[in-house]
This record gives sequence, C-alpha cells and structure tokens, in this order.
Amino acid sequence: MTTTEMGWTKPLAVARSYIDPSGVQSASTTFQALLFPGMSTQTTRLRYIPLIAAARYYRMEAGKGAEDQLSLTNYLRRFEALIAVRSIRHHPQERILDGIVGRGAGLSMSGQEEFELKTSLQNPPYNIYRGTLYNLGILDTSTTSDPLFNQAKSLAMAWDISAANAIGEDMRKGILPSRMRRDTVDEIAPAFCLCKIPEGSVEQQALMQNLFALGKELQLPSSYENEDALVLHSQACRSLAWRFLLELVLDSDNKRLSAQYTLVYLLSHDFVPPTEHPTLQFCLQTWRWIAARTFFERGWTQIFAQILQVLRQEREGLSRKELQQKAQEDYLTENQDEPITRLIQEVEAKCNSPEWLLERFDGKLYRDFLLCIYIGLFMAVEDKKRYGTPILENLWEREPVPFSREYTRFEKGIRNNNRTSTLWAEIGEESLTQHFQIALRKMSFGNPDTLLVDFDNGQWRVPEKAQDEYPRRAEGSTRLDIGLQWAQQLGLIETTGQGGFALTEVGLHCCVEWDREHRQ
Amino acid sequence: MSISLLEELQSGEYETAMFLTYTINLRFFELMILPRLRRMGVSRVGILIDQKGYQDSLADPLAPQFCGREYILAPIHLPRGGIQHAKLIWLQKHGKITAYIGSHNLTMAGFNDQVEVTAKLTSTNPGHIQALCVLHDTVSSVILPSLDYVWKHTVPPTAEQDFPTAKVLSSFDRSLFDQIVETVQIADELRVVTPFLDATALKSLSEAVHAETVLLDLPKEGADTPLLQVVEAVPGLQPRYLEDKRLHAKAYQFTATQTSWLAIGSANCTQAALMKSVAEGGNLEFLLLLEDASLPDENFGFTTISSPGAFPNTGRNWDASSASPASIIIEEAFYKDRQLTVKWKLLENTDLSEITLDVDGESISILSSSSNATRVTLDKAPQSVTLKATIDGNISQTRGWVINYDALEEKVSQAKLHQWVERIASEDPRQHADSIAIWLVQGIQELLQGHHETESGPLQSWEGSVQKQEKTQSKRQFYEVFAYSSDLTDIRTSARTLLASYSNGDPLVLLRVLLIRFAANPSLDMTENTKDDDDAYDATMQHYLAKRKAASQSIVRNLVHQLDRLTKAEVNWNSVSEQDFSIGLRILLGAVARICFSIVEDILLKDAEDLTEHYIHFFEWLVSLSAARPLMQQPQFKGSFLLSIGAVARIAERCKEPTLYPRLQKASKRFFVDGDLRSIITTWKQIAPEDADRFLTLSKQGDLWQQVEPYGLRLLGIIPDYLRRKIEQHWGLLLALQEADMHSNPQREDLYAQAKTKYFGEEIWIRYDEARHRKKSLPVIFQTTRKVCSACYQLLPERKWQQLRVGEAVICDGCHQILLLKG
Repeated sequence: MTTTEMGWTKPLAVARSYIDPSGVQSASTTFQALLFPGMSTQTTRLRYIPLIAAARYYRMEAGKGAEDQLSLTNYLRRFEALIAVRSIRHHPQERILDGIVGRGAGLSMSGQEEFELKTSLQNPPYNIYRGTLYNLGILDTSTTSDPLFNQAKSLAMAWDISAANAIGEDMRKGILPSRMRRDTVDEIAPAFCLCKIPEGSVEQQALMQNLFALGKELQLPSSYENEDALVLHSQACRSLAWRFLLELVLDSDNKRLSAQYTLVYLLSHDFVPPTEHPTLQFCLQTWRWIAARTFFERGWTQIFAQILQVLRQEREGLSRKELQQKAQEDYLTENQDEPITRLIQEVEAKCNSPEWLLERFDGKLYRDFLLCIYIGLFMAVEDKKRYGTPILENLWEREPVPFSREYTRFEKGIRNNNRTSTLWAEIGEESLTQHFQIALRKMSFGNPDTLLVDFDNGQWRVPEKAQDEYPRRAEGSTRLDIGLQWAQQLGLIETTGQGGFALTEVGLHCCVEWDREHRQ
Repeated sequence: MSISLLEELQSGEYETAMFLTYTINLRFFELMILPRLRRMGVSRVGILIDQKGYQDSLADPLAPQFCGREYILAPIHLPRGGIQHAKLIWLQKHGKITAYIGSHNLTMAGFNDQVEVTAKLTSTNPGHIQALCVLHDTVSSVILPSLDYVWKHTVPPTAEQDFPTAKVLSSFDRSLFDQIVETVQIADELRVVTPFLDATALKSLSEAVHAETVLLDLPKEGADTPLLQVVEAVPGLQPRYLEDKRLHAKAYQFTATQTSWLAIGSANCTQAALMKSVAEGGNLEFLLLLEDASLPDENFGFTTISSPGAFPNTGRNWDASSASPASIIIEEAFYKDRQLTVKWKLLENTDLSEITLDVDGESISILSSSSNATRVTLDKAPQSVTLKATIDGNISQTRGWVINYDALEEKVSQAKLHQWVERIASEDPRQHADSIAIWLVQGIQELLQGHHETESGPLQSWEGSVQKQEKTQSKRQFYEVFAYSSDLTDIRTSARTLLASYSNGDPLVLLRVLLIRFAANPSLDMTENTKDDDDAYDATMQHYLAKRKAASQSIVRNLVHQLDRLTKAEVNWNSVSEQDFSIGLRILLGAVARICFSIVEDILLKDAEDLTEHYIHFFEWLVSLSAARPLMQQPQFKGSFLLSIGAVARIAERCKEPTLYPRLQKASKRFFVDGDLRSIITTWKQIAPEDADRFLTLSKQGDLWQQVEPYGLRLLGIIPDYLRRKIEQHWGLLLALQEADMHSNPQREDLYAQAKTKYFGEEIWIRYDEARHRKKSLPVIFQTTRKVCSACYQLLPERKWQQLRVGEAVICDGCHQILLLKG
C-alpha cells in the first residue's frame, strides 16, 4: 500500500444560509452599526438585554459553588428556555410575540404540565445578543468568558428578581432547575416576558439611562468628519440616534413609519432645522444617506438575482459577451429599450413624490430596479451638494459598490447614448463580480462557502452547489425599525393605527431630559 | 481519502511558493490563496501559467489588485506549440518542501468546486525525495527568467533518499505514455478518469498494457470525441459518467493479478497530453505514479452509460493547434528603481514598422523599432502594459502584467510583519490557535536556549521585553479594534501599527491580540433585513463556534505540551542570566494566565484536568529550581506567578478529579505563605506600573487580576472583599452581639434587641438565642477557612461548605456550632 497522501479533492462546507450575497448591503449596515451601536436587525427584543445582564450578574455573584452544580452554558440555556416559555405563557389569548428566540420550544413546553427547560437551539439568544451586550457596555466579550462590566451592575440589578419568586432565589444562587411546572411559570411570567419593559420600573429607568446616556457627560459629534470619531464616541452616537428616533416620531405626526415608509419619509422631509439642533441635523443627513442607499440596494440586489437566474439556465456557462447578450434579451422581454436619460429625467421629476417613491420600491419591472438604483444615487448626490458636509463626501465613496463609481457609470452611459438594456447588462455583470469578491472574502475568513457564481476559463457559470440557491432582494428595514420596536417595548412610543407612532409621556420626558443634558 | 486544498494551505511555515497551472482566476488567488500564503510566512510567490491562461487573466472582469506587486505571473510558450498543462503547488522553507501534484488549476473550480485529484509529497518522507527532485529539475528546465526571483530561492531536497514510494512522470523529455507502459507493462483492468478524451489515445493505452476490460469515467457533459467512436475503438469498454458534480480529475488505474498502479495528475487521455513529449509538440504534464495504490472510494457515484450513441460530446480537438499566436509577445515587463522596462519578441521573421507602448492609457512611441526592448522613467508603476506594433502593415497588439520589483522587495522585507498582520486579521479561530502555538513554541525555544541568536518572528525575542516601548497610541484603543471592529482594513492597519510599536518591547502584546481576535465575534452575516429570527439555523455561526471549540482544545493541548517540554528540558539554568530567565519565565506565566482566561468557557474536562496537572508539575519544578529562588522575592515575578495561579485555579475548579484542586492549593499555599496576597499585586502596580500594565491590561476596561482574583483568593483560602463586606453587613451584628455577650458589655441588651429584629425566625438566630440563654455555651459562632468545622474539626458536607463560601452561616451537624467563613 502506498504511504503517499493522495485522493479526490474535498470542497469546503457549503453555507446553508445566504445573507447579502451580492455584498452591496454591507456599506450601509456597517455604517448603521456606527450610528446606532448596540443593535442589529436580529436583536428585536429589548428585554433580552436586562434579563441576560441579570442572569450573568447573579451567576457571577454566586461564585464557584454554582459552577459545581450547573455549568454556565447549561445555566444560560435553561434561562433562555425560561424566557421562551414565559413569553408564550404570558399571552395565552394573543398572537405569539415575534422575536422570541426558541418560540417553537417555548410552545412545546407551554403545552406540558411539567417540562424540561431546554430549547435545543443551534444559535441561542445569548449568541445573538452577545454583540449587543458588548456594545451597550454590559458584557466584556473580548474574552470567551464574557464577564459583566462593573458599570452594568446597576442595569443587571434593576431587573426585579423578587418578582421571579423561587426562581429568583435560585438565580441568586447561580442555578436554575432542569424541570419546571407550568403553573410555576404562569405565576412569574411577567418577570421574564419579552413583550415589554414594566412601566415605571427601575428596569425601565436603567435602560433609558443606558440607551440615552442620561446623567453622563457626552462628547456629541459636532460633525461627522470621519468614522473614527463615531467609533470613539459610540455611547454618544447611540444617545444621539435614540434622540433622533424620538424626533422622527414626533415629526411624523402619525404618518406610517416602518421599513420603506421610514425611508421615504426621511427622503421627503428635512425635518430638523440646523440652527435649532445642529447635531440632530447631522444625524438626519446620515439617515437620509442610508435611505438613499437602501433604495440603491433594492435595485442592485434584484438585478443580481435576475442576472443569476439568466446564468443558471446555461449549465455550461456564458462568456462575458454571451452574458451581456442574454441579459439584454432578458431585459427586453418585458421592458422597452430607452435612453438612460429618460430614466434620469423621470427620477428628477418625480422624486419629491412619496407615493411614486413607494411604488418604485415595490415595483416588479426591471425598469423599476434601475430606477431604484438611480433614486439612491440622485438623492445622495443632491444631499451632498445641499449640505456639503464631509461625512456625505466620505459616504459617497464608501465601499463596496461605492456611489461615486456607479454614478460615473450612469454619466458615462449618458455620454455614450447607451440604452437601458445595455446599462442593465453592465450592472448585472458588475453585481456578479462584486458577489464573487465578497463571497471569497467571507470564505477566506474561514466562513463556509457562499459562492453562487464562478468565472473560470473565460466563462461565467453557476456551480452545481448553487443551482438551487436564490438570493433575496434587500428589504426596506433599517436599524431605525428595530429602534422603533425597542422604543415601543420600552414605553417611549406607542402605535396610533395605520402604522404611525406617537410619543408617550415617558418618551416626551426622555426628549426633554436629553435636550436639557446634551443639547448644548 | 480526500484532501481539501484550501484547508491544507492553512498551516505550515514556508518562505517560497511556486504554482504551475493552465488557467487562473487571479481574484480567487488573491482572496483565497495569497492571504493563506502570507499567514504561512511566504514572501516570494510565483505562478507559471500557459500563455492562454495568461492572456485570459488580462481580460478577466475580476481584475486583480496585487499582480506583479505581491506575486509574479509569467506565461510560458512551449517550443512546439504544446500547452503548459501541469498543475503543481511547491512550498519551500530552506530544506523543507511540500508539493501537491494533481489536476487542479489555480481557480475556485480547481481548488474547491470540481472533482479533482491530488497527491501530497513532502521532503520529510524519504520515499518522496526522488519524486521531488524530478519535479524540481523539470520546473528548473522550463522556468522563465522573470520567475528566477522566486524559483532561485528553492532547492531540490537534500535529505537522504529511501526506496522511492512515488514516481513523478513528466512529459518534458519523454511521452507519458512510454513511461507508463515501461513501468506498468501489463494490466488486466484499466480504469481511466478523464474529462477530455480522444479515442486513439485510449485505444493505444489499453492495447499497450493488454487490458481486457477498460472502465472509462467521464463528466456528464461528455468528452471531446463522440463516445460511440471510443466504444468501437476499444473492445470491452465500460463507460460511466458522473452526475451532479463537475469532473475534472485525471487518473489511470492499472490492475493486474499481482499488483496495481495508479497514475494521477494533469494529463487527460489525449494525444497531446499522453502520447507526445514537449519536444514532440505535446503538452507539459505531470503524473504521479504509485505502486500498489488505487483510487480511494469516492463519496459520489458514477452511472453506467447504457446508450453511448446518445451520450453528448464537446467536439473539441486537442491535437489542433491552439488559437494562432500573436505576431509579437511581451517577454518581460518590469518596474525597478522608477524605470519601466519592456522586452518583446517577434514570433516570426517579419517587418516591424511601428511600435508603441500604452501605459495607463498613455501611448509612448518607441522610436527604434529595431531593438527588442525599451525603458521609460515613471513615478508610479503601472499594473499592465500594452504593446501595439505594425507588422507587415497589420496592427498587432499584446498585453502583459508588469512585475514591480520595488513592491516585491518591500513585501519580502516585511514578510514577517505581513505574516502576523494576516494572522491577526484572520477570522478563523484555528488559525489563531496555530499562531498561538507558534508564539509559544518560539518563546519556549528562546527560554530553553537562554539568550539566542536565531531568527524569530515579530515576537522578536522574549528577552526584548526589557526595552522601553514608544507609546504611539493607547494599547486599549488597539484592543478595542481587534475585539470589536469588523473592518478588516482597520484591523490590518491597527495590527501593523501595534506590532511595529509594541512587539519589540512587549511580546505579550501579540499573544493578547491573538487571544482577543480568537474570542472576538466574527463579522458573520448577521445584518440582513430579516425579522424571522426564530430558531433559524445559523449554519455559519455554528460552523464558527464548532471551530472555536476545536481551536480552544488545540491551544490548551499545545500549552500543556510546552509546559511539559520546559520542565523536561535538560538545561543548566544556573548558566542563564537572571534577567533572561526572569523575563522568559514571567512572560510564560503571563501567557498561562491569558490563555486560561480566554479559553475557560470552551475547555473540555479532560483538557482542564490535563492542564491543571501539568501546571502543578511546572509549579513544583519552578519552585524547586535553585536558579528561580532569587526571582521569587521580586514583586513583579510574584505578581505574574500569582496571576497565573488565579487563572489556573479557575480551570482547576472545573476538574472532576478530586485530588487536583487540593494539590494545586497545597502547592500554592506552600509558596505564598505571607498574609493577604492581594498586596503582591498592589505592590507590583506601585513599583512597576508599566510592567504590571503589560500583564494586566484587558480591552475596554478592567484588568486581568480583577477577573481571576476570586479564583486565586479562593484557592489560597482568602475571601474576596465583596464577600467580606457581605459577611460583615449581614452577620456583623450577630458577631458583635456575641462579643458583647461574652464580655458582658453594657450595650449587649441593645444589640440583642436589634439582632432579634434583624434575624428573627432564622435558624441561625434560634441557635444563637438558645446558646445565649445557656450562657456557658458561648462562643457559639466560629469562623473557618476550610471545609472543616473549626470547633469540632468534622468535615462539612459539600452543600454546607458551598453555603459558607457564598457568605452564609451554617450549623455544624456534629457540634451544632454556628460557622461563618473567615475573612
């Protein structure tokens, strides 16, 4: 037998989920993370934060004795199961809350008189909220043991452990039972339920202080000259973002806010006068850029998905020239060819109409996809001219798929009298190129294979592993939407029907407090 | 057996890399291969490619960023029109060589997606030496001057040869066909795996070895020749095809009664690949021939082709010459010392009337068309150049990548820095584990050698830590970036600055950064606009966490191994300077503390026990060492020692083996005999604040001692401050009452009234009250530091001991006295 290591080659693991495969959304999402630190589109339930902080705090206080009885991992898994089952039991007559991680297990436990506290989740809430807990200054995740920061103890202790009765006593000892009875759960469900933060509670106060940085001296960015300033002053950025969110609700006057409605509202309303509130004005400018960028992403991701579909039909692949030809043919099946200038004129003429913007965002025609791209570019370039702030200049160049390069593509297309089908094919191939690079970059970090397309031997083709993968288009939600959800859960805003919101008294109080402390 | 090439390139240390390929995707190479090479320490990278692949790369929509600046891509023109079709990866550092020979081009398809074959040859295997020598000779024969910059840094293996277990066949001098037949001679059964095929080649091969049955495995898309032609030409043919996956492997398996042979590599079953040598107009191909070997079972299935007439074929003719070559080619284009030099060659004896060079969109007219080279001064190196020539009245155009020797030299000079910057930037925890292993191995090696002169990484030598560092930016700020940022450019920039500023003065910086990156949340896809997050199977995150767990285990095992290595080394420690010894040991202690602290949540029970066991052994070894005795008096040394004990105590608390924790406790108490050990850390911070800061700084805030203090103090029987406060707050009144009762203090009645209100109904109060009434029964409250009643010396049950340890009072089951933890 040979001693030589030899054999068939083995591929890397293929990812089962494909998130932002075109890569175009990362420019906005990473910037949103700077503007609104401590939040992601996955962390929709604010109450996980004080609950996990409390669990971690009492566990640390309990010391080694607890570890001997129950490992930290098992303790957290049981705690998460408690949250899931109680969030379901707390609302027996209502629709199940969204954002409960482990909803399926929670439902199953709810159906039994006595059950094991277990969710068997692959990705438990603690993992999902870990980044948020770091950014809010609660857990130090720079080590795998994630100790609680000293400053976070007040928030951890603000959660009313006495409302958890015997379970609270267990938590003080750093342990939790492996099994539980349903009637026990029902007694203490409000203490753990994710639906909202109890009104007037210490927990509510502590969270407001954390999110709005109340009672703390802040260096609010007077202008966003560079992103480093945002990173350095993340607490100030978060505080400002929360104040901006309340200002948005205040100004919207019951108009519908959420996803693309928020985007369109931002693009159509310059609602913070710079003289009155300069820092909030800067905040508005950046959120307007995000709104413009999301329109752009919407168009881009739909073109990417469509061009991939064209390519998928050719098992042997297509040369660059063939791809261009097929893409153009595909465009012309349902859309008329027209000069690019016509698209541009339409955007310039109608971009002030919220209804027209919403129709384009939801449009199904390939032409709408191109229009979405140009809406994003046009809105951003206009703001850049109008406000002239350094941050908008920087954002104009922000990678990947920078606005500057795509705007030049349109300008060049106009100069060459190109038609929309040509532009469609050009952007289509560019989206493949971007995807290829972003997917390889992710893989080079050790992530599983997310590559949907390959360019080999002069041919574009969809490899066998990706034949059944269909990338999703970008939606209109941003971190402002998560912010609106958190604000509702915290009791700062309330719905007014038709998708609108209004400030509550607590919310108004927050605005006043923030303005008093930080406005100058 | 199966081999993942991308995984293979994750580990090892090399300096030079050379690739042979037919086609290439340069962006794939830059994003997936180049960072791996950098992390392995490779500073010189060359790629020898066929002319067609080279020209295709110039028109690739995925434009490269680093071609010519970080690696050299050079095309080869074989003399008689054959193509460069061999595929090889050659990695070398001094005498250490690893080579992969197979069917894989340097593309995503070749390295990952397609079904390929490969074999690994290493210079540490004496049976591979001859094969590696043949490979080296062949590459040396065809290598171009432009690749000398890389290839001259390789040498054939010099290790002693053993009986060769693998034989490399090259088509450079002789046809592969002749070489195969000469070795194999006869086979009952022949299996051919080939994506490209012509009937005559297969017929010749099966006849030459007298094969009675021929198994032919093809891709689903078919071969070049209509299958029916092949079936007619080769009697006993059993054709099959591969469903679902794209087949690009090339393999020949010969099975005879007595033996079997397997040849794998680049050669398709075609005339150009198999039947001709390069000199005869054939391709350059490599096959690796192995005796007593067969293709491993594949985890994919081949399907029998029942209707060969209906099976598709590509119609490609491999014997026809490839597309007519351009009349002029760029032989070399390079930039050095602000000068761009372009050399060209006319392929035929033709009349060249005009020639211009296009550089970054600017045309430079070359006056003398009789020369074959030009040189221009440029401030900035272009990435590629285009040569336009009027030949016999027709315009011919050719392009080439520019080799930027200035940039390449800079890369070479900073290879070590780049290696560690890339390692820090990596988001693969296994890579971090590997980096930490290198850090430890080098550090221990230096410690064992005392002061040594060998080359070292950016760690510099551990001895370098006495130098005072120049502070350019707060370390905490850097740590923030490493722990938090998902921006790789930011991470790379910070890594570069930090290593340049600190590593020379503080080797622990690099370890700390690696551990922070190890623990940092990866920049995974958590950003999509999705609201349905319930129970979502996040494969990426799971994949990552599984890898991190495995990496943690690897870190622990390596640490254990290194501690073991140190204690078993036969070194005269008295001959090592006290300063070198102290620094080396202290950094090791700091490393133990950091590593334990960082991986504690992922550690397996067995690893926890193993680590504790070896640490105790190391501890005892260190304390017994006469050379270490003077060090033991230094606060800095004691501080770092205590730090490591605290961190290991935390690990030890997880061990199930009952003797480990007491053994660690016993050893620690023997060494730390003085009062409150917290003063050691306080003194350390006072007399050497910068030094303490190096050992203790964490990202964001806080220090390492704060994190491990409770475990260390618990081990040494000292209760933490918060517990002391808790006992005072809750039980202080009762202790004061006992004191007053015992001394008939006049305040005792007041105290009694207060205590009755405070403790009313509690079991402890009932017991105290009862003892008080008996008077002679006082004192009834005793304090203990151990799991033993300090009144009757009876061992306490575990539950009571745990209650005591969290500050509660308990009643001894033996003597019924009240017990409290002693502060």
